[in-house]
Amino acid sequence: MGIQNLLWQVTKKAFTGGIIGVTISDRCCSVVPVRGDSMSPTLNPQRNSYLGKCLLEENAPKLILFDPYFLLIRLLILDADDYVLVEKFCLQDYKFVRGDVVVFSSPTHFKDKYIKRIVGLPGEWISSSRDVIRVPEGHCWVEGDNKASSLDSRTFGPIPLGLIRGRVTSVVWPPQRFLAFRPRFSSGVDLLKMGRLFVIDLQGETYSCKHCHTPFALTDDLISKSFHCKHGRAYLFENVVNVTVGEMEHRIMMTGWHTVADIFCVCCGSLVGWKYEIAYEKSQKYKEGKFIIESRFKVLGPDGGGYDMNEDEPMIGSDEE
Amino acid sequence: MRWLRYLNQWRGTAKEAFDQVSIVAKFLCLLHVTDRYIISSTHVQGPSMLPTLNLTGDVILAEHVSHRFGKIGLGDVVLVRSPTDPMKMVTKRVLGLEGHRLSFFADPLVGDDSVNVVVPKGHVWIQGDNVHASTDSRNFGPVPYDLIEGKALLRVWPLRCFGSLR
Repeated sequence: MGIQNLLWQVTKKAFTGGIIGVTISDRCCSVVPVRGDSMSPTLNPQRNSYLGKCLLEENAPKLILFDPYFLLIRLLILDADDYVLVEKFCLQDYKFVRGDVVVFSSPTHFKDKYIKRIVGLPGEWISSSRDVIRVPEGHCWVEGDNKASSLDSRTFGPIPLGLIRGRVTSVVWPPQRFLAFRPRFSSGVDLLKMGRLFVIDLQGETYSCKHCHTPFALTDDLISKSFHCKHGRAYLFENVVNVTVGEMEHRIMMTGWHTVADIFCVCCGSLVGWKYEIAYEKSQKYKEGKFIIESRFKVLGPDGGGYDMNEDEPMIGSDEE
Repeated sequence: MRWLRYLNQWRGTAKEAFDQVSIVAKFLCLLHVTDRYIISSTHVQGPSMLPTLNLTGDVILAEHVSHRFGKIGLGDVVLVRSPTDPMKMVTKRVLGLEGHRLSFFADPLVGDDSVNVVVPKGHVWIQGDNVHASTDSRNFGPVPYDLIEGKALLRVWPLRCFGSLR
């Protein structure tokens, strides 16, 4: 009788615990392992590293495949998959931002789940290998960070937002990777409203992103080369294109308080500088609405080289962060 | 010394309150699991499934078990998350599974030209019973299988139409 009672109690507790666990994992957040290297180096970076590739069976020399030390190292490195925290609150209103890493069901094999990054929102234009595609309403374009080995929208096309099962917020295991995950684009900004239509092409001599060669500004738009921030030279531009503007912040600069917003490249998401929204000193008002592009953020000058650090212009009007 | 007595009183009340709240929480979790994984009731309305479903709205019971095992068959009325708006659920009939060849009229009111289509792997073709007033796979194409959220079982309201959907 005692055993039966005990069994019943245990079953009841397990059932309750199971139900609560399922509800939390459906509505709040859950932890999932990341398999594969389609999101290297953001997630599972070891798989795409040189060491990771060497440890793969097909690349290792035949003699050491049975060596116990080799197998141990292989276990420690290759099998240390990342575990990520996936939050489900985004499924209340399906408002995603370009740059979110999401978990979704595969459109071709309904039992599989993939983890990729959203790079196109409904209504945006995506340029694939040969043509330009418009992402239809209610769909999104997903791509893995490791373009070489990723099965994503370039293969199966845009996916309906209804297939998304959660958004990745952080890496929880292994502990040294905790907090290592950072969304590439500034979060908290409703980039849905920004809706990139296409990358604007500039004719003439331009400054562009060293990483992805997206043009930012014409040399004609350059107002002053003699700004500098604590990391180096910075150029003031009248108008800049192909950037997304982040959240407004108050910052104190050498010339006083300003309200600025960081700007990011629309193609690769790297931080390139900032935009002056409001200047609180009368003498600095001329800067409002203008953009600073910092030289340390790898911007190519029109001659192809980086900013020339040996300019002999006087350092007037310098602004330090 | 008095606050020690208050603390003991509060401990009793707090434990009782916690017990009540946990009962409510467990019940809500059970409700969620039943609604999402076993069976749920939905209010459906619209002209796209006439004459099977009424225009002014019916309440139907839908089960959420068979789609997880891939047991959705031809002719089933299913609840699907709309591919054009993920916040909306639509009720349509499955008229084609993966690999099936279908032909439909591009616009039934205008000409006779029919379009032939093969349903790709992992997708289904859904269509409303009322071909004249339904936005379905003829408009947005075959939908991925995983957008299916449930299969309709029977109608419970209005009472005169109680029973299975045929």
